[in-house]
Amino acid sequence: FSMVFDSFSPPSKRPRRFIHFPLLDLPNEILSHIFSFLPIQYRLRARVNKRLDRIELESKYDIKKLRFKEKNESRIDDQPYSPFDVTLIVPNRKSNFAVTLKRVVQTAKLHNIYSSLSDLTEYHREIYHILYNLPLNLISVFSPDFTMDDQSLLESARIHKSIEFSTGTTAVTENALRSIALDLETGRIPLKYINLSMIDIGVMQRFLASIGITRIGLTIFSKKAGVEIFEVPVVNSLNQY
Amino acid sequence: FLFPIKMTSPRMIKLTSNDDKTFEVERDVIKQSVTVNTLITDLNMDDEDVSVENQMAIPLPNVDAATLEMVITWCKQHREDPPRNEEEEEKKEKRTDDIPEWDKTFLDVEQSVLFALILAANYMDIKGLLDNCCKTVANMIKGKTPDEIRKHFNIKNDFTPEEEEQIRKENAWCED
Repeated sequence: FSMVFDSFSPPSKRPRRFIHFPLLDLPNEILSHIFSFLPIQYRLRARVNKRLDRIELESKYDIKKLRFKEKNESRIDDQPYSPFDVTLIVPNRKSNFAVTLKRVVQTAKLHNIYSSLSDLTEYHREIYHILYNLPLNLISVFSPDFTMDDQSLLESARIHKSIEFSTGTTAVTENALRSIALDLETGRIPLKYINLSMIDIGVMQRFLASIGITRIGLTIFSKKAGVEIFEVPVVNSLNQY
Repeated sequence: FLFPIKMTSPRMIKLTSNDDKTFEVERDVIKQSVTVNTLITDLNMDDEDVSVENQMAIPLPNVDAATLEMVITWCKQHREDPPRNEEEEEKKEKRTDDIPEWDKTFLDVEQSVLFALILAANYMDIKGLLDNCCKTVANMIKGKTPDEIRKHFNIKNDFTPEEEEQIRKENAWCED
Protein backbone atom coordinates (compact mmCIF):
# COMPACT_ATOMS: atom_id res chain seq x y z
CA PHE A 1 0.00 0.00 0.00
CA SER A 2 1.00 3.57 -0.35
CA MET A 3 1.78 5.87 2.48
CA VAL A 4 1.40 9.44 1.48
CA PHE A 5 3.17 11.22 4.22
CA ASP A 6 4.48 14.37 2.76
CA SER A 7 6.11 16.24 5.60
CA PHE A 8 7.72 18.75 3.26
CA SER A 9 4.77 20.40 1.62
CA PRO A 10 5.84 23.29 -0.60
CA PRO A 11 5.62 26.70 1.06
CA SER A 12 3.01 27.85 -1.45
CA LYS A 13 0.60 25.27 -0.03
CA ARG A 14 1.00 26.75 3.43
CA PRO A 15 -1.67 29.23 4.46
CA ARG A 16 -0.85 32.90 4.22
CA ARG A 17 1.43 34.15 7.00
CA PHE A 18 -0.07 36.47 9.57
CA ILE A 19 1.67 39.13 11.58
CA HIS A 20 -1.15 39.03 14.09
CA PHE A 21 -3.05 36.01 15.28
CA PRO A 22 -6.46 36.42 13.56
CA LEU A 23 -8.44 36.10 16.77
CA LEU A 24 -11.56 37.75 15.35
CA ASP A 25 -11.69 35.25 12.46
CA LEU A 26 -12.47 32.49 14.94
CA PRO A 27 -16.10 31.49 15.39
CA ASN A 28 -17.89 32.73 18.52
CA GLU A 29 -18.01 29.33 20.20
CA ILE A 30 -14.23 28.99 20.00
CA LEU A 31 -13.70 32.51 21.33
CA SER A 32 -16.03 31.62 24.17
CA HIS A 33 -14.01 28.45 24.78
CA ILE A 34 -10.80 30.51 24.91
CA PHE A 35 -12.44 32.87 27.42
CA SER A 36 -13.40 29.90 29.59
CA PHE A 37 -9.71 29.26 30.33
CA LEU A 38 -8.95 32.83 31.40
CA PRO A 39 -8.92 34.12 34.98
CA ILE A 40 -11.68 36.68 35.63
CA GLN A 41 -9.53 39.79 35.50
CA TYR A 42 -7.93 38.84 32.15
CA ARG A 43 -11.25 37.81 30.75
CA LEU A 44 -12.74 41.17 31.58
CA ARG A 45 -9.72 42.94 30.14
CA ALA A 46 -10.06 40.93 26.91
CA ARG A 47 -13.33 42.70 26.08
CA VAL A 48 -11.56 44.98 23.64
CA ASN A 49 -14.31 45.41 21.09
CA LYS A 50 -18.09 45.07 20.92
CA ARG A 51 -18.10 41.48 19.67
CA LEU A 52 -15.67 40.23 22.33
CA ASP A 53 -17.62 42.12 25.00
CA ARG A 54 -20.80 40.32 23.98
CA ILE A 55 -19.10 36.91 23.79
CA GLU A 56 -17.53 37.44 27.21
CA LEU A 57 -20.94 38.23 28.66
CA GLU A 58 -22.40 35.05 27.17
CA SER A 59 -19.56 32.76 28.31
CA LYS A 60 -20.03 30.89 31.55
CA TYR A 61 -17.73 31.22 34.51
CA ASP A 62 -17.02 28.15 36.58
CA ILE A 63 -16.13 29.27 40.07
CA LYS A 64 -16.52 27.00 43.05
CA LYS A 65 -15.43 29.49 45.67
CA LEU A 66 -15.56 33.22 45.32
CA ARG A 67 -13.87 35.14 48.10
CA PHE A 68 -14.10 38.80 48.89
CA LYS A 69 -11.41 40.58 50.73
CA GLU A 70 -11.34 44.22 51.51
CA LYS A 71 -7.73 45.10 51.72
CA ASN A 72 -5.47 44.66 48.77
CA GLU A 73 -2.84 42.59 50.51
CA SER A 74 -1.01 41.64 47.36
CA ARG A 75 -1.55 42.45 43.73
CA ILE A 76 -4.14 40.14 42.21
CA ASP A 77 -1.71 39.16 39.47
CA ASP A 78 0.77 37.84 42.03
CA GLN A 79 -1.67 35.55 43.76
CA PRO A 80 -1.61 31.88 42.90
CA TYR A 81 -4.57 31.50 40.63
CA SER A 82 -7.15 28.82 40.72
CA PRO A 83 -10.20 29.35 38.53
CA PHE A 84 -12.28 27.43 41.05
CA ASP A 85 -11.21 29.56 43.97
CA VAL A 86 -11.28 33.23 43.12
CA THR A 87 -10.50 36.07 45.47
CA LEU A 88 -11.95 39.45 44.62
CA ILE A 89 -10.62 42.49 46.35
CA VAL A 90 -13.52 44.76 47.17
CA PRO A 91 -12.23 48.17 46.12
CA ASN A 92 -13.13 51.61 47.31
CA ARG A 93 -16.81 52.36 47.47
CA LYS A 94 -16.96 54.55 44.40
CA SER A 95 -15.99 51.82 41.95
CA ASN A 96 -18.39 49.80 39.83
CA PHE A 97 -17.56 46.58 41.63
CA ALA A 98 -21.22 45.68 42.12
CA VAL A 99 -21.88 46.10 38.39
CA THR A 100 -18.92 43.89 37.48
CA LEU A 101 -19.91 41.32 40.06
CA LYS A 102 -23.41 41.23 38.66
CA ARG A 103 -21.95 40.58 35.23
CA VAL A 104 -19.73 37.78 36.51
CA VAL A 105 -22.26 35.99 38.71
CA GLN A 106 -25.05 35.96 36.16
CA THR A 107 -23.05 33.61 33.95
CA ALA A 108 -21.25 31.75 36.72
CA LYS A 109 -21.75 28.33 38.14
CA LEU A 110 -21.06 29.40 41.71
CA HIS A 111 -21.09 27.27 44.80
CA ASN A 112 -19.70 29.18 47.73
CA ILE A 113 -19.04 32.84 48.30
CA TYR A 114 -16.84 33.78 51.21
CA SER A 115 -16.60 37.33 52.29
CA SER A 116 -14.43 38.68 55.00
CA LEU A 117 -15.79 41.99 56.15
CA SER A 118 -14.98 44.65 58.67
CA ASP A 119 -18.15 46.59 58.02
CA LEU A 120 -21.66 46.25 56.77
CA THR A 121 -22.47 49.37 54.84
CA GLU A 122 -24.89 50.38 52.11
CA TYR A 123 -22.12 49.40 49.72
CA HIS A 124 -21.93 45.85 51.06
CA ARG A 125 -25.70 45.59 51.03
CA GLU A 126 -25.65 46.46 47.33
CA ILE A 127 -23.22 43.60 46.74
CA TYR A 128 -25.21 41.18 48.88
CA HIS A 129 -28.39 42.18 47.15
CA ILE A 130 -26.89 40.84 43.90
CA LEU A 131 -25.83 37.59 45.52
CA TYR A 132 -28.87 37.05 47.67
CA ASN A 133 -31.10 35.43 45.09
CA LEU A 134 -28.43 33.14 43.73
CA PRO A 135 -28.54 29.47 44.68
CA LEU A 136 -25.24 29.48 46.47
CA ASN A 137 -23.68 29.57 49.88
CA LEU A 138 -22.85 33.02 51.05
CA ILE A 139 -20.46 32.78 53.92
CA SER A 140 -19.14 35.78 55.78
CA VAL A 141 -16.38 35.95 58.30
CA PHE A 142 -16.41 39.21 60.18
CA SER A 143 -13.12 40.82 60.96
CA PRO A 144 -11.91 41.86 64.43
CA ASP A 145 -12.50 45.50 63.46
CA PHE A 146 -16.19 44.92 63.10
CA THR A 147 -18.61 45.82 65.84
CA MET A 148 -21.66 43.64 65.54
CA ASP A 149 -24.90 45.14 66.77
CA ASP A 150 -28.49 43.92 66.56
CA GLN A 151 -29.18 45.61 63.25
CA SER A 152 -26.03 44.24 61.58
CA LEU A 153 -26.69 40.76 62.90
CA LEU A 154 -30.29 40.72 61.67
CA GLU A 155 -29.17 42.09 58.33
CA SER A 156 -26.47 39.42 58.00
CA ALA A 157 -28.81 36.64 59.03
CA ARG A 158 -31.16 37.62 56.24
CA ILE A 159 -28.53 37.49 53.49
CA HIS A 160 -26.10 34.77 54.51
CA LYS A 161 -26.21 31.03 54.62
CA SER A 162 -23.35 30.94 57.07
CA ILE A 163 -21.89 33.53 59.42
CA GLU A 164 -18.64 33.31 61.34
CA PHE A 165 -18.46 35.91 64.03
CA SER A 166 -15.77 34.69 66.34
CA THR A 167 -13.66 37.81 66.63
CA GLY A 168 -14.39 41.47 67.21
CA THR A 169 -16.69 43.22 69.60
CA THR A 170 -20.38 42.88 70.01
CA ALA A 171 -23.37 44.82 71.26
CA VAL A 172 -25.82 42.10 70.27
CA THR A 173 -28.76 41.53 72.60
CA GLU A 174 -30.91 38.45 73.21
CA ASN A 175 -33.74 40.17 71.30
CA ALA A 176 -31.84 39.92 68.00
CA LEU A 177 -30.96 36.29 68.68
CA ARG A 178 -34.58 35.49 69.46
CA SER A 179 -35.69 37.16 66.26
CA ILE A 180 -33.22 35.08 64.24
CA ALA A 181 -34.33 31.89 66.00
CA LEU A 182 -37.92 32.69 65.05
CA ASP A 183 -36.91 33.33 61.44
CA LEU A 184 -35.05 30.01 61.37
CA GLU A 185 -38.06 28.23 62.75
CA THR A 186 -40.38 29.64 60.15
CA GLY A 187 -37.85 29.12 57.37
CA ARG A 188 -37.96 32.78 56.36
CA ILE A 189 -34.18 33.09 56.05
CA PRO A 190 -31.59 30.97 54.24
CA LEU A 191 -29.24 30.86 57.25
CA LYS A 192 -27.86 27.40 57.97
CA TYR A 193 -24.96 28.01 60.31
CA ILE A 194 -24.00 30.77 62.66
CA ASN A 195 -21.00 30.96 64.94
CA LEU A 196 -21.44 33.55 67.64
CA SER A 197 -18.49 32.85 69.91
CA MET A 198 -18.17 36.55 70.63
CA ILE A 199 -21.64 36.94 72.07
CA ASP A 200 -21.67 37.74 75.78
CA ILE A 201 -22.35 34.60 77.80
CA GLY A 202 -25.09 36.30 79.82
CA VAL A 203 -26.86 37.37 76.62
CA MET A 204 -26.50 33.89 75.19
CA GLN A 205 -27.89 32.22 78.31
CA ARG A 206 -30.88 34.54 78.47
CA PHE A 207 -31.53 33.88 74.80
CA LEU A 208 -31.21 30.12 75.19
CA ALA A 209 -33.52 30.19 78.18
CA SER A 210 -36.08 32.13 76.16
CA ILE A 211 -36.20 29.38 73.52
CA GLY A 212 -36.42 26.60 76.08
CA ILE A 213 -32.79 25.60 76.49
CA THR A 214 -31.50 25.42 80.03
CA ARG A 215 -28.28 24.49 81.63
CA ILE A 216 -28.06 22.39 84.72
CA GLY A 217 -24.51 22.06 85.85
CA LEU A 218 -22.49 21.16 82.75
CA THR A 219 -25.37 19.59 80.89
CA ILE A 220 -27.64 21.45 78.55
CA PHE A 221 -31.23 20.40 78.04
CA SER A 222 -33.70 21.33 75.39
CA LYS A 223 -37.34 21.50 76.32
CA LYS A 224 -38.41 22.61 72.90
CA ALA A 225 -39.58 20.16 70.25
CA GLY A 226 -37.32 20.18 67.22
CA VAL A 227 -34.42 21.77 69.01
CA GLU A 228 -31.48 19.47 69.42
CA ILE A 229 -28.29 20.05 71.31
CA PHE A 230 -25.31 18.85 69.34
CA GLU A 231 -22.28 19.73 71.38
CA VAL A 232 -22.04 19.60 75.11
CA PRO A 233 -21.34 21.95 76.67
CA VAL A 234 -22.62 24.36 74.07
CA VAL A 235 -22.57 27.56 75.97
CA ASN A 236 -22.12 30.13 73.31
CA SER A 237 -22.64 28.63 69.93
CA LEU A 238 -26.00 28.21 68.38
CA ASN A 239 -26.42 25.56 65.76
CA GLN A 240 -29.37 25.31 63.56
CA TYR A 241 -32.16 23.02 64.59
CA PHE B 1 7.81 -26.87 15.90
CA LEU B 2 6.38 -24.14 13.85
CA PHE B 3 3.85 -21.85 15.35
CA PRO B 4 1.48 -20.29 12.94
CA ILE B 5 1.82 -16.58 13.54
CA LYS B 6 -1.11 -14.55 12.50
CA MET B 7 0.10 -11.12 11.51
CA THR B 8 -2.57 -8.66 12.33
CA SER B 9 -1.61 -5.30 11.03
CA PRO B 10 -3.46 -2.40 12.60
CA ARG B 11 -6.58 -1.32 10.82
CA MET B 12 -5.95 1.70 8.62
CA ILE B 13 -8.24 4.55 7.62
CA LYS B 14 -7.79 6.86 4.66
CA LEU B 15 -8.34 10.59 4.98
CA THR B 16 -8.26 13.13 2.15
CA SER B 17 -7.44 16.80 2.69
CA ASN B 18 -9.10 19.66 0.76
CA ASP B 19 -6.01 19.87 -1.46
CA ASP B 20 -6.41 16.22 -2.43
CA LYS B 21 -3.71 14.54 -0.42
CA THR B 22 -4.56 11.19 1.05
CA PHE B 23 -3.24 10.06 4.41
CA GLU B 24 -3.40 6.64 5.92
CA VAL B 25 -3.78 6.54 9.63
CA GLU B 26 -4.41 3.80 12.17
CA ARG B 27 -8.04 3.40 13.14
CA ASP B 28 -6.99 3.50 16.77
CA VAL B 29 -5.18 6.82 16.31
CA ILE B 30 -7.91 8.68 14.45
CA LYS B 31 -10.68 7.63 16.83
CA GLN B 32 -9.72 10.75 18.81
CA SER B 33 -11.52 12.72 16.11
CA VAL B 34 -15.20 12.43 17.01
CA THR B 35 -16.16 13.57 13.50
CA VAL B 36 -14.06 10.90 11.77
CA ASN B 37 -14.95 8.24 14.33
CA THR B 38 -18.66 8.85 13.83
CA LEU B 39 -18.26 8.64 10.05
CA ILE B 40 -16.34 5.35 10.32
CA THR B 41 -19.06 3.87 12.49
CA ASP B 42 -21.94 5.25 10.43
CA LEU B 43 -20.42 4.01 7.17
CA ASN B 44 -19.75 0.56 8.68
CA MET B 45 -16.09 0.94 7.79
CA ASP B 46 -15.07 -1.24 10.72
CA ASP B 47 -16.26 -4.17 8.64
CA GLU B 48 -13.25 -6.56 8.56
CA ASP B 49 -13.84 -7.67 4.97
CA VAL B 50 -12.94 -4.42 3.29
CA SER B 51 -9.24 -4.09 2.56
CA VAL B 52 -7.60 -0.72 2.92
CA GLU B 53 -7.03 -0.54 -0.86
CA ASN B 54 -10.75 -0.78 -1.55
CA GLN B 55 -11.70 1.47 1.24
CA MET B 56 -13.29 4.81 0.61
CA ALA B 57 -11.17 7.74 1.74
CA ILE B 58 -12.91 10.09 4.15
CA PRO B 59 -12.89 13.59 2.67
CA LEU B 60 -12.11 16.45 5.04
CA PRO B 61 -13.09 19.49 2.94
CA ASN B 62 -12.20 22.00 5.67
CA VAL B 63 -8.64 20.80 6.34
CA ASP B 64 -5.55 21.28 4.18
CA ALA B 65 -2.78 18.68 3.92
CA ALA B 66 -0.22 20.51 6.06
CA THR B 67 -2.75 20.93 8.87
CA LEU B 68 -4.10 17.38 8.56
CA GLU B 69 -0.57 16.05 8.84
CA MET B 70 -0.10 17.98 12.08
CA VAL B 71 -3.44 16.78 13.39
CA ILE B 72 -2.40 13.17 12.70
CA THR B 73 0.96 13.74 14.40
CA TRP B 74 -0.86 15.09 17.46
CA CYS B 75 -3.28 12.13 17.50
CA LYS B 76 -0.35 9.68 17.28
CA GLN B 77 1.34 11.36 20.23
CA HIS B 78 -1.88 11.21 22.25
CA ARG B 79 -3.06 7.74 21.25
CA GLU B 80 -2.35 6.38 24.72
CA ASP B 81 -4.28 9.14 26.47
CA PRO B 82 -7.18 7.84 28.53
CA PRO B 83 -10.46 8.39 26.68
CA ARG B 84 -11.99 11.74 27.52
CA ASN B 85 -14.99 11.78 29.75
CA GLU B 86 -16.74 15.07 29.04
CA GLU B 87 -18.58 14.96 32.35
CA GLU B 88 -15.25 14.70 34.18
CA GLU B 89 -13.77 17.42 31.97
CA GLU B 90 -16.61 19.73 33.04
CA LYS B 91 -15.63 19.26 36.67
CA LYS B 92 -11.95 19.96 36.04
CA GLU B 93 -10.38 23.30 36.72
CA LYS B 94 -10.10 25.38 33.61
CA ARG B 95 -6.60 26.77 33.50
CA THR B 96 -3.96 27.62 30.95
CA ASP B 97 -0.82 26.47 32.76
CA ASP B 98 -1.42 22.73 32.35
CA ILE B 99 -0.51 22.28 28.67
CA PRO B 100 1.75 19.19 28.42
CA GLU B 101 5.38 19.96 27.46
CA TRP B 102 5.11 18.02 24.19
CA ASP B 103 2.04 20.02 23.16
CA LYS B 104 3.70 23.31 24.13
CA THR B 105 6.57 22.59 21.74
CA PHE B 106 4.22 21.20 19.12
CA LEU B 107 2.02 24.30 19.23
CA ASP B 108 4.95 26.72 19.20
CA VAL B 109 4.29 27.39 15.53
CA GLU B 110 3.59 30.27 13.23
CA GLN B 111 0.31 32.07 14.04
CA SER B 112 -1.35 30.95 10.79
CA VAL B 113 -0.56 27.31 11.57
CA LEU B 114 -2.03 27.57 15.06
CA PHE B 115 -5.10 29.26 13.59
CA ALA B 116 -5.56 26.47 11.00
CA LEU B 117 -5.07 23.83 13.72
CA ILE B 118 -7.82 25.36 15.87
CA LEU B 119 -10.28 25.31 12.99
CA ALA B 120 -9.28 21.73 12.08
CA ALA B 121 -9.51 20.51 15.69
CA ASN B 122 -12.93 22.14 15.95
CA TYR B 123 -14.15 20.68 12.66
CA MET B 124 -12.72 17.22 13.33
CA ASP B 125 -13.94 17.47 16.93
CA ILE B 126 -10.69 16.57 18.68
CA LYS B 127 -11.33 18.08 22.08
CA GLY B 128 -7.88 17.55 23.62
CA LEU B 129 -6.17 19.30 20.70
CA LEU B 130 -8.76 22.08 20.62
CA ASP B 131 -8.36 22.67 24.37
CA ASN B 132 -4.58 22.92 24.19
CA CYS B 133 -4.76 25.25 21.17
CA CYS B 134 -7.31 27.47 22.94
CA LYS B 135 -5.16 27.51 26.09
CA THR B 136 -2.22 28.61 23.93
CA VAL B 137 -4.28 31.54 22.61
CA ALA B 138 -5.56 32.29 26.13
CA ASN B 139 -1.92 32.55 27.21
CA MET B 140 -1.40 35.25 24.57
CA ILE B 141 -4.25 37.25 26.14
CA LYS B 142 -3.24 36.65 29.74
CA GLY B 143 -1.27 39.40 31.43
CA LYS B 144 -1.98 42.00 28.77
CA THR B 145 -3.78 45.32 29.14
CA PRO B 146 -6.73 45.97 26.77
CA ASP B 147 -4.49 48.16 24.60
CA GLU B 148 -1.79 45.49 24.45
CA ILE B 149 -4.44 42.93 23.47
CA ARG B 150 -5.70 45.20 20.67
CA LYS B 151 -2.16 45.67 19.43
CA HIS B 152 -1.27 41.98 19.64
CA PHE B 153 -4.34 40.78 17.74
CA ASN B 154 -4.78 43.91 15.59
CA ILE B 155 -8.28 44.59 16.92
CA LYS B 156 -9.99 47.89 16.29
CA ASN B 157 -11.57 49.59 19.27
CA ASP B 158 -15.20 50.09 18.16
CA PHE B 159 -16.59 51.28 21.49
CA THR B 160 -18.07 54.72 21.89
CA PRO B 161 -16.19 56.85 24.48
CA GLU B 162 -19.13 56.25 26.87
CA GLU B 163 -18.99 52.46 26.44
CA GLU B 164 -15.26 52.49 26.89
CA GLU B 165 -15.57 54.49 30.09
CA GLN B 166 -18.17 52.01 31.36
CA ILE B 167 -15.84 49.06 30.70
CA ARG B 168 -12.91 50.90 32.23
CA LYS B 169 -14.99 51.40 35.37
CA GLU B 170 -16.12 47.78 35.43
CA ASN B 171 -12.54 46.61 35.15
CA ALA B 172 -11.24 49.07 37.72
CA TRP B 173 -11.53 46.67 40.64
CA CYS B 174 -9.14 44.20 39.07
CA GLU B 175 -6.55 46.78 38.08
CA ASP B 176 -3.81 48.01 40.35
